Amino acid sequence: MKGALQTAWLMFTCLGVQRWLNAVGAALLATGLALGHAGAPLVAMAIGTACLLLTPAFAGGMIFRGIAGARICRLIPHGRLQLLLGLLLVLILGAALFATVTALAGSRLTIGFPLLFARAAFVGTIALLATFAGAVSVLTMTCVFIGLGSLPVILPSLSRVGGIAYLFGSTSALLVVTACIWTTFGLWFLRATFITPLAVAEAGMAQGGGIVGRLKSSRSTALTTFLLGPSGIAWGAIAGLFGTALLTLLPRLTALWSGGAVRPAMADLLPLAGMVCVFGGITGFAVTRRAKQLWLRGGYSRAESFAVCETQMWRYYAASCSLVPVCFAVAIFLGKPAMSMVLLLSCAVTIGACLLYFSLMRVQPWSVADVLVAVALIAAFVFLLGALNNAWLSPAATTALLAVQALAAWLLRRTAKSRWQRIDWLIHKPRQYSAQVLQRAS
Amino acid sequence: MNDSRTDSVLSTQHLGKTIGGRAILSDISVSLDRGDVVGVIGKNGAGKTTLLETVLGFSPATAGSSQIYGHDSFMLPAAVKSRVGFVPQQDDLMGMLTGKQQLGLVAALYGGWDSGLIDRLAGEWEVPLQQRIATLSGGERQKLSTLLALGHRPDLLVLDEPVSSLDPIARRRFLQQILEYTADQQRTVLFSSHIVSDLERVANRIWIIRDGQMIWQGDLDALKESVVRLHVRASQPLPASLDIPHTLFEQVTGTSAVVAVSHWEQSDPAAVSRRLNADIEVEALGLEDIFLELNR
Repeated sequence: MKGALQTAWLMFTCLGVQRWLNAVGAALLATGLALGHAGAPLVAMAIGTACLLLTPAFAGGMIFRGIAGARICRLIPHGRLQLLLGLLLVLILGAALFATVTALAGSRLTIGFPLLFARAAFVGTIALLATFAGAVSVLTMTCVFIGLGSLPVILPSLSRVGGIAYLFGSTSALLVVTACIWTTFGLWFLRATFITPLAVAEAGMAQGGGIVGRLKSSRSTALTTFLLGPSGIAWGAIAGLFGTALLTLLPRLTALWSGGAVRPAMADLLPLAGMVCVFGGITGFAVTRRAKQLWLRGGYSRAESFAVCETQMWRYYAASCSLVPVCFAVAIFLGKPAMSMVLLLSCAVTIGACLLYFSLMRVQPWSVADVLVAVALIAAFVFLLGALNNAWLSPAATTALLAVQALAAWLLRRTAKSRWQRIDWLIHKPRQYSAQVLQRAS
Repeated sequence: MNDSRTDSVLSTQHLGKTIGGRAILSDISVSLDRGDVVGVIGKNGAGKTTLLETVLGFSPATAGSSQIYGHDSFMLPAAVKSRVGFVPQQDDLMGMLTGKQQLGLVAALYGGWDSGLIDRLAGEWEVPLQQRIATLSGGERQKLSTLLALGHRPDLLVLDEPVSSLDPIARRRFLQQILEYTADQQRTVLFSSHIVSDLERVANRIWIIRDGQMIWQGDLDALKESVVRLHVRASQPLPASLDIPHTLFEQVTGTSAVVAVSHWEQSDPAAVSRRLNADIEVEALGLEDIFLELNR
């Protein structure tokens, strides 16, 4: 049991940024609870809960694979059983927290704690096991993230379909299905002869993944390859195109399944806007570490290295999101309100730019200011999607928000550029993988 | 290619480096002249890699300063960087590429690239350049990593544990070629290694680091004259402490004692012998024994 508790503790605390988010989340939650359950305190509680559950929900499976994939686990008596119980404990704690906060906050809700808990446990199970399964390659992880990102869009539509509607409305049915999923996973997990460690997947990503064709021996190819991997931009483009296609088709399909219910105009394109936001920050962390090579071999100063990295990241970003503006243009052509569409895409791009520069800023250990910026970006992301979907803001207010976001992106860029003047590649060196891991990754 | 500003290839003055509140290097003042082959030794965690990466400008110093060819390491101009080759302890190769592709990309970053030299060395070192790097052994990766650092014919070559994955035959051949590379007295090599016998074979100067401090820097021969082991034999029981200056280690057993000392060249053996009323036999030590005595 001690091992299970330790596993659960690790899942909630193993990352440095996670501990910071936990502290901020707990403070916001406590403030919200103390001040009441409506208005601003409710928003504080929602953001606090998101801060506490964000990492376990989206990275829990990867962290679990990192622990379970270690060969040493096979030598510990009942090691895997303890790990499995730990993961289950994380799910129960996370679902209980979510259900408690939602039940407290949502006085208008017609459903009670048991059903909220069952729904949270079911969705949490999908998130944990999908990220666990997906953390073996670039492609599967991309698919998993796109799938998880589109859950908020799919679930409401799916919940109108007969059988699924019954499932989501019945606490006992949901708990039985969840238990069945865990039993199946548990039986496989306890008997599996080999669990691919996370490092293999990481190494695959670090090396760009995919098959490398002929490479031109030019300076520009060298820069792109060293910073993004031999097929980095190609992978970004593929993931982006695939994601765009999926996120465009899914609402249509779910609308069909739900009996052709018409969705609000704006909501159709929200997942795409979310994708544009998130893709901005995806590559920065790896790029800053790989820039070490440019310092000596490329002959670049730190300021020049920053400029090179910035250019490469924008190229990756543009490749990943190249189809999204086309989708928005088609939506306008089909009669969606042009102004709203342009504002939505612009807001998404500016948040994406903020994330891009935030990841470039990450060249020194996390500070309080960094955590506050991270929380602010998460809050801005949630608020933007909510505001645009529910028409909370007028076009003028949205334009003002856009200007604020652009200013924030500019400030983050300045901070990033200034930090790069003192970048320490002894600390921010590229991650290293053993020869065995590299061979498996290839 | 020689810099008119200074003859010193590399120098540091009271260099210090602190990471997370922990002092990794403190008060390091060293210099390196053209044609030197300097070996850096120290225990794990002594600060060898931090020293090499700080003097190369990868990492900012938290105290003191360091220069390469007269320029501040942290702000090295591109012209100076092109004179430096570096083989990191952990290679930065890209597993999905072949060795040839990786060499081609690195070559594209430099103005002058000696393909003839690289082809010759790759052949002699038996590096399979057509294979994907992920399928290479640790030793082959290490050789490829060294090729990447040699292609632009650097004047200063810095190698961090360059032979740790090589077998004894490959190691000896590799070091021999590094010596040939510097034979024209124009090039300088700075390398760290745990394999002390290798350092002894090729280095003319030694830097020994302990707990982030430079406890010895100088010629290898001078080091061997300085650190010796004394076998003391007396006719009557010896005192518990022999009180010999610069004692590193002392073991007294009745009428005999074994003492390791440094700075022996400054001592007067006859005076010590008279004071203890004992015979003293001086045992010259190899570099490995010297390193062990200095790190007891």
